[in-house]
Amino acid sequence: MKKALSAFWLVLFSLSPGSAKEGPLFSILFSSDIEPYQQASQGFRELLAEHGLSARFAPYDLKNESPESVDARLRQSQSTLVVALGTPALKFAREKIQDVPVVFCMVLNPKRLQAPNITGVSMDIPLSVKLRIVKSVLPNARRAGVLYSRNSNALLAEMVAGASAFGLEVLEKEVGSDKELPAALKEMSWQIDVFLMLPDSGIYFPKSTEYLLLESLRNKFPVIGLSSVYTKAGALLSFDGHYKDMGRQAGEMAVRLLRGEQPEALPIAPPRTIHWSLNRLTAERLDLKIPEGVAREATEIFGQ
Amino acid sequence: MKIGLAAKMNLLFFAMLMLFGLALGYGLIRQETRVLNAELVARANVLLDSLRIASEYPLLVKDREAISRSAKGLLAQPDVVYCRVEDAQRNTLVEAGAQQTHRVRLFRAIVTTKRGNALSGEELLLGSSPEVQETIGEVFLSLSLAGLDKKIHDVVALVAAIVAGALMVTFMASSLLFRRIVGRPVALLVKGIERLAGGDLDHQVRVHSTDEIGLLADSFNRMTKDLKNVTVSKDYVDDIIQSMTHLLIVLDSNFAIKTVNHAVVETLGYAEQELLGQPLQKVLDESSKAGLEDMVKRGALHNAERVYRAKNGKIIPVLFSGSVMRDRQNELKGIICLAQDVTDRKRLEKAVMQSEKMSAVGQLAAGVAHEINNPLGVIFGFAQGLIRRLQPGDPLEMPLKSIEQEAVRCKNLVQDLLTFSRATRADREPLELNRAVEAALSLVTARARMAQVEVRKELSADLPRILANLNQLQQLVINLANNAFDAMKDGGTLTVRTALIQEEARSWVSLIVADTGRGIAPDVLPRIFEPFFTTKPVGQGTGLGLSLAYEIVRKHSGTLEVKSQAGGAEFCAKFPARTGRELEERVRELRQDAGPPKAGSV
Repeated sequence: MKKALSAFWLVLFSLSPGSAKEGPLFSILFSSDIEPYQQASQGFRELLAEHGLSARFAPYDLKNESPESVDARLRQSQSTLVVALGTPALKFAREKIQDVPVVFCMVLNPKRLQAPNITGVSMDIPLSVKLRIVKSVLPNARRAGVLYSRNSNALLAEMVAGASAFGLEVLEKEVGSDKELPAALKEMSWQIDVFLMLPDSGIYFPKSTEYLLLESLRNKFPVIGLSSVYTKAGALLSFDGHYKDMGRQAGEMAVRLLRGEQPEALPIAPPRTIHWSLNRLTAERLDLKIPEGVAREATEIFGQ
Repeated sequence: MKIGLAAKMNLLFFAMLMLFGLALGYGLIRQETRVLNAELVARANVLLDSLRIASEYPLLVKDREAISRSAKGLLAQPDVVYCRVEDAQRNTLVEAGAQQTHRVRLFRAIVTTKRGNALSGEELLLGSSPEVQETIGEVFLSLSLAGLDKKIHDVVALVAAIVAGALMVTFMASSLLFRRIVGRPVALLVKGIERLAGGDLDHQVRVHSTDEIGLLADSFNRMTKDLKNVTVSKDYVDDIIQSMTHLLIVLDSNFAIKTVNHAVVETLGYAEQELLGQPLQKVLDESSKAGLEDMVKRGALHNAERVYRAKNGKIIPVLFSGSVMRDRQNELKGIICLAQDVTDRKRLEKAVMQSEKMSAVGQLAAGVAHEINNPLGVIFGFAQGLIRRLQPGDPLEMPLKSIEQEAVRCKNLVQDLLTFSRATRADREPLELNRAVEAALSLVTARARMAQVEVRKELSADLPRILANLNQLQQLVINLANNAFDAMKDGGTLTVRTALIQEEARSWVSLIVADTGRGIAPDVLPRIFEPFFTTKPVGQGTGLGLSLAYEIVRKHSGTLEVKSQAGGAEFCAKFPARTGRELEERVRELRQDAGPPKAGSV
């Protein structure tokens, strides 16, 4: 953690205004100092460089700096463009910045935070993409279980709507609190062919996820996780966006904005590069035969 | 009770060892107890951890069944007697086992869980949501200490047994060792010193070791040897003193007798204790008492004639030497008195003197007798011739008869004088004393009767013969008898006794002539055998009777002694008894001297 932090500050130093030639100033708002944001930032900067823009970058860390301080500094900097990495950063930008174009990336479900001066790359992997891959891995799956809460109603609705196209019936169950998860799982586990996790922090947290994955192995139902971390922990497969490419994607949008295009003219884009990971050990444990051709398409395979 | 050096050292060593053993045992038990306790705590923590982990999710979802399963599993573990799980509100969800209060230990642990605090789904995806620890309950676990107590008890018993065993073995070994390297050598040294103190300078201590005790023993042996070389033991000195033939008396500074030797006790007849502490005057004769202070002044006295007096009053002439002992401050420390008994020498000297006197008188008498004998014969012859020619009533008859009478007396005197010179060895022959006595007594019977003296004969029969001249023997008896008659003016008893006696390792034939007269005055006694000494009025005695008797006995190799007291005097003559061979040799000598026997002679 300490190492990661120091690396981050090294990057920030290299992006400092005085270290580059005079040019457009990009203020980059980091929601936190985690690696995926760094990768996205890296992709963004690479893309600008490829377009020959000698831009200056001013990084802001919303996790370690007070919003007031960040706001004051932003106002003084007279940025050409603001890049928001992650939902907290986008929320901050939406609240504080109205006169400068904002390009975001690494944000799930960004539609709720739309504004005229804001555009960017969503983190939502299109459901169709996901279901297609799920179907290719589990061609015999017919019924998919989903647990949801009030927070994930919209996602469920999307899921229910999209699943039928892939021959999947969604068996959903609402969970009022995390304490209801075991009972709900117990009830549905024997009815489903696959379990799909929705990104709902009210339901999933480390202990409940652990319980879910343990139950999946006991009751032999594959779990489709939220990211490769879940695959590694025991989910059969998960999807990930390509963070650096998301940054590049956002960079392309920034270039277009610099060239005079208006943010409204640029619709929010989904990630164009999708990675998915597969856990062979889980597959073996669940007695699943993954077609070899399909498995080869996985970006990352655990349990080799 | 007497405790030896080795025992003391061993006891000290054992006490230290015991202290060390106790400390070691205590330390071991304490350490082992700590380890066992730590093990128990570690095990309890492991069990508690497992319960905590197993209960984490069930606690979250209040799954009592799952928690109960874990609790029962835990209760199956050894020593676990009680288990309880509470939720965050302290409601007991599961309780298993019996909650005891005696010898149990309660462990508890808070159950927490990581709670994802994800604000958005993307944080869930990225795994970047901040995690917070949330307390969701508490688990309790009671472990019985019975097992621990038993283990500790076992450890205590084992350690105690090992320490006690080790102590015992060490004590036995050390006591053997101490006795060997200290006790025995020291005992030998002590014994050696005691023997040295007792005067045994020949004793050697045999300690074969190279340590300090060995060196001490060597030094002791060397010292003993040196001491022996330079010291004369008291016993040795005592032996010398006691073996001396001289009389040794040591006086202290107060002139009191401090030491006497065996010769003193033997000679003077006193027991040693009777003399110790007494003044020297106790044994000195009155005549010798002066001069001791003078000797102290002069420092020494050499060969002075002194007289000791024995316990029975006997006078002992001695040659007395004395020397004064002084200490370093020149103070008088004592006086050493050394005396030589010269009684025998004195007697011999006296005898020699007497003998020489006799001899001189004898020679003188013989010479005078020869010269007087012839004129006396002429006087006697002419006196008789003239008397024969006298007519009865002639006035010259009385003077002439007086001349004849006195001439006879002179003739007898001359005859006596001649006896001194005439008695030679050649005149002697083997004869029986009794025969001579009988013959002589028959000659004095008439005088005895006149003097009213009873003659009593006590003649021992079967006496050995002696070499003697019969006439002289008769003369001897007659002279002694006449002396006795003179002593018994008012009558009395004359006893003549012969006997065989043993004296000075040889046999003597003794002749004793005793009277019951007035005795001989002590001042006269030493002189009575001198020639011409007489107590009789002038003209009544010649003073030759007893001296002649003395001379006769002396010429017969015998002795004549006189004892006198108020009730009479006793003369004792002793003649050597002759063996058969001596007599035969003498007879042979006589025959050769006589030549071939003449016809008609006897």
